[in-house]
Parts: sequence; structure tokens; C-alpha cells
Amino acid sequence: MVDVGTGLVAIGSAVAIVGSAIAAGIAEKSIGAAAVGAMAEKEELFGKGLILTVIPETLVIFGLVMALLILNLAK
Amino acid sequence: MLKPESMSRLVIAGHKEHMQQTINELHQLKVLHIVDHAKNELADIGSPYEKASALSETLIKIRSIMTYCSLNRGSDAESPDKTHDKLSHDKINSRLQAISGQIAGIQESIREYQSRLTKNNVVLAELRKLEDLKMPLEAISAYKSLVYFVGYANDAQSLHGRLQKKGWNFRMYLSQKNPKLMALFIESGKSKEAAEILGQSSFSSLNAALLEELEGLPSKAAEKVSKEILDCSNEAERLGKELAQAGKDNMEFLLAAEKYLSNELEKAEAPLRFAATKNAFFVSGWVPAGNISHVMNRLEKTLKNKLFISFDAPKPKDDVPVKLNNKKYAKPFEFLLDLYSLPIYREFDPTLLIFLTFPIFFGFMLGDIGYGLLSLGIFALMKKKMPKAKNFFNIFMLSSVSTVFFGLLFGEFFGAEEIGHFELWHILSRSHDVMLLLSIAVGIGIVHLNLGLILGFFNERKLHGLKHAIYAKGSWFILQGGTFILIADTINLISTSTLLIVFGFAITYGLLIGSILILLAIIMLIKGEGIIGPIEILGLIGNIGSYSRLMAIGLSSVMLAIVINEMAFEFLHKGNLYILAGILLLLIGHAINMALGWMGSFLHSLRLHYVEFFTKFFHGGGKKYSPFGL
Repeated sequence: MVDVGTGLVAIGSAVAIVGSAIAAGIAEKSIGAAAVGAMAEKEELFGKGLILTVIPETLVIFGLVMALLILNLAK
Repeated sequence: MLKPESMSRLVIAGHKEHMQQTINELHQLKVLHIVDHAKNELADIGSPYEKASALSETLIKIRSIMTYCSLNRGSDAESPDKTHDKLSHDKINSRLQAISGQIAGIQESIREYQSRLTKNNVVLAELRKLEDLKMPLEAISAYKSLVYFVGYANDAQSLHGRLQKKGWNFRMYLSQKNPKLMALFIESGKSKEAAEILGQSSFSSLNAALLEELEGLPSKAAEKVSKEILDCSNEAERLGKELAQAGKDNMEFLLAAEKYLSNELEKAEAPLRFAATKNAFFVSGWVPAGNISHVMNRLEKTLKNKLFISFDAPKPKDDVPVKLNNKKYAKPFEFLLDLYSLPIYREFDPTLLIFLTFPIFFGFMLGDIGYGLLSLGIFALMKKKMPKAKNFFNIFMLSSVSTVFFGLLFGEFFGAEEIGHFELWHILSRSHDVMLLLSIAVGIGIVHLNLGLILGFFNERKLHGLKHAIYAKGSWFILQGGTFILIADTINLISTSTLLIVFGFAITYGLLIGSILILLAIIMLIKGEGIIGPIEILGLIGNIGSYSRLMAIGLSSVMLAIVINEMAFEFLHKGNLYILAGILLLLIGHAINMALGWMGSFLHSLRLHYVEFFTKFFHGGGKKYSPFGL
């Protein structure tokens, strides 16, 4: 069994991922909906729509980096 | 390379009687990007040639026939150019008449069958409802002395009794299965009262008038109608095939005629883009500088000094169309730039840089020998299948090669770091040296962003002068320098002697110089870009952090591959049928992971270029060079 400190570190890093993933999801939801709407009007916008949709993915990447840095504390 | 092709402004003026010939020449040359004339007090726009309306009429006919026969413009074209010279508007019209007659005939009968089909479907739906009634359908017809009610009523059985009590002459059909279904025939004198009684039982009528032409019992009639439906749909399908065949037979002609007519129409309507007075015309536009002498020679030769032609270099405020000018190897990447926005004429064309960095980013993220080789094969195959998306697949193929290269560096083969007991050579292992990978990713980011800032410096110098360039872009380098000195001094990477001690806190020369540089950079930024400048410092930190996706996407792809391998090997060790499951898991798992890897790596390297890199220098919004006649 791991000690309490390591467990807390693990929970901390999980929170970093969970929070940023939810945030990215919320942001992508609205952008995705708008992008699909735009695409229905004008199909050529597929490329731009796709790019715009992944822009908030940075959030979850920052979350992942933070999670990794926190995990490093446990070592 | 790095610059759009240089353009010259060409101006042609002449008498109107030479306009037709000039248009023909320009159309053949296919180099002049015409700038549409806007009506002003000096000259109106020209009027199109008379034949334009007749041409467009024929063109619309051809295009409508092509839509009927589901022919696509351009896609099925074998090489209609060859037949061009023999075509003329009259010839096209006479042949078109025959074709459109044939096709209109087929269309007409298809429409007829389709309307019969819809009607029969409705009739069948009504008949199905009446199927349980043992009532000959002949009974339903338009009577003088009788009315009928066919439909549903609550408790139809008791209705029969209630009507009988009234002592009227009527006949009622009831269903064995559905207690609500009923058909009532009653003398027309009593129709109002009968309707009232029915209304109390909340009667709802069926559309029986549709059935008036039918005979026999409903179930028999339904059989007959459904057979007719089958016949109709078969016939409609056969005619549809005939239509497609007619289209195929005339495909070559239709495509060639369409192309010929759109060319002729473009020529006939060209004067709309010219300036014209009562007797003269005037056209201005852009020609690639290299083609200028060729254009001049051609026009001189055919029109023999009848035109006034002049050219000169673009002025700073001109809105010059952009023709990207890249070597063959970098050409596919123009597609990615096109997806975003074309550069304006006076700035850098970053295609070559995308060509250099895009595959590196892609490979860094996917980085796996197995995935790289497999995707190289898949994309080569897809390129052969879909030559239209050639550029797209070329980008992917180059990226696959880079994936193999990085796979070799990371020592990964489908996520595994060893094959059998033979460990693959690697510089660093992505699944173990995460922090090192993160530092490398951020390092790549800093280099890439600085490259963008350098380009931005030159762009600003060209567009707004050296002073502005130093304030707006040079300040970023000073800022970075200051930050570096500050950090290096704090973590004792460099040691500078102490200047003075304030409240026990040692202020060193390094600290002081670093802070002064940062302050200086902020002041320059405010001068260069206004109050928004310093806020962008936070943006730059975000931008650098954003490059950590190079590590993150790669890591997630490796981890997934490792999980797939571990699960599959557990199955494989169990033996028997588990081996099959293990192999299936490997195949499906890696296929999904690879597809995710393609999408993730492609989108994220693209995004790093669009959002992080381009914002440092790129203005965009250039107009595409589209020469007349092409």
C-alpha cells in the first residue's frame, strides 16, 4: 500500500486532468456546434471548423502537463 | 521561395473595334488577372456581347441535363479539350435539341410513374386499414340517394343497435378484429342526423373517396395495388438507369460543350470587367513579372500597334493578387496555407517553413517505426485511389517518413520498446523520460516562436518601417534576453557579484540587468503595439506552454499502444481461443490508435502553425491570383 502522501499526490494530479478536461469539453462543445452549423451552410469551411474545434484542447494539455509535474512530487 | 511571385501592373487601352481580338488573345494567354473596373465619372463598365445571353441560356440547359444524369463537371472529364476546336454554338444547339428531347421524354415518364407511385402508396395505406371489412369496394362510389361513412368510431357495435332503433334504412359493415372500424351506408335524407349520432361516438372518417375506383374485397384490392406499386417502382428504376445511360452516352459531348460554352461566355462577358467609353475600352490587371515581355510580344504581333499597352511595378498601396511561388517539394504545403489564408503580396510566404517544421512536429508526436511505415503504405495507396487529393496525401506521406525517423530515435515499434528480447536502440524513451521530453518540446517551441518573431521583424520593417519593427518585434528579443538573465541568475546558472543588499535580499548585477531589460522591453512594446502589447506577454508564455502538446499527444499515443500490447499479450499467453482474441485486439486497437494519432498529430501540428507560429508575423488576407481564361 502507498502512503497517504502519495495518494494525495495522485488525487491532486487526477484533479488537474479532470478539471482541465471538463473545461476543454465545455469550450469545444460550443465551438463544435457553431462549426457544424457553419459547415452546413458552406462545406468548404470543414478545414477551418476542424482547426477551431481543437483550439481549446490546449487546456487539457496544460492539465496533463500539470498532472505530470504533480506526479513528479511523489518520486 | 518565401516570397509570392512578383507581379507587374499591366494596362491596355484601345479602340472598341479591337476589343474582341484583345479578349481572345488575353483568354489564350491565360496570365492576366483582371482588376474589375468600378463605374466612375470617367468611364462606365463595358456592356457584354449580344451572344452572351444566348450562350448562358444554352449553358444552363446543358448544366441542367448534367444534373439530371448526375454528371459532375470536371470529375469525369477524360480530356474534352481535344474536341474543342470542332465545336460551335450552333452545332451544340442542334445536338442539344435531340439530347434534351430524349432526356425530357424519359424525365416525363419517370415523373408520371413517381406520381402514380405516391398515389398508390396512399391508397394502399387506406386499404390496409379496411382489410378486415367484408365489404365489396364497389359499394363505395358517388351515389345520388345514398351517403357513406367509413372510419373509426367508439364502440361501433352498439351504434348499429342505436341506428336500428331509429327505424332508418341503412346497411352497416363491421370488422371482426377491430371493434372501432365501421362502414355505414344510409339514405342521403338522414345523413345529417346520422352524422350527429356518429359524432357522439367520436367518429373519425377515413379517406374513402380514394377507393372509389377499386373493385372486390379490400384485401384482394390491396394485393392488386401493391403489385402495381412494385411495377411502378421497377419501371421508375429502369427509366432512371436509362437516364443515366443516356447521360453516359453523351458524357463526352456534354462535358466538352459545357467547357466550351463557359469559355465563350467568359469571353463574351469580359467587357463587363473593362472600363468603356463610347469608342474606347480600357483594361487593367496583374501579370507575373516574368511573363510581361511575352504578353507584350503577343499583343503587338496580333494587333500591330493598335493598342496602348503599358506596365509598371506595384505601388505600396496596391492590392496585388498573390501567386505562391514554391519549389516542387514544398508545393503540397501551399494547401495548408490555403486552408488558413493567403499572405498579402508584400509579406513572407511561409510555405517553405511549414514544409520544414510540419513533418517534424507530426513525426515528433506520432513517432513510431511501425505506425510510420504502415501509414506511408496506406497513404501511398490512397493517393493512387484519389489523385484529386494528391497534395493532402503528399503531406501525409512526408509526415509518415518523419514518423519513422522519430520512431527510430525513440525506439518504438507499435508502442513496444523491444521486439522479442531484443531491445530497440533509442536516444530517449518517451514512456520513461517524460520530463526530458517536456523540456525538449518547450525548447522546440521557443525556437519556433523566435523564428516567427524574426520573420515578423522583417515583415514589420517592410510594411511599417524599421522603427516600428524594433518597437513591436525587437522588444520581444530583449524581453527574452532579460528573462533569461533573471532566471539564470536566480538558479545560479551564472553568478554575478552582489550590488547591494536590501532587507537581507541580495540584489546582484544579473538581477538588476535582467529587470532593466524586461522593463525596457515593456516600454518598447507599449510604444510599438499600444497597451495591448504587455498583455501579450502572458500570451507568449501560453504559446510556449502550448508546445508541450508535442509531448502530450505523443505520450498519450505511446501509452495507448502500450496498454493495447499488454492486454493483447495477456490473452496470447492464455493460449487456445484467447490467441484469436489477442490478435483481434492488437489489430483493432492499433488501427484505432493509429487513426487517432493521424488526426491528433495532423490537427495539432497544424494548430501550432496557425495559432502559435502565424500570429507572430502573418497578416494574411491576400487575394488569389486567378488569370483570365483559366
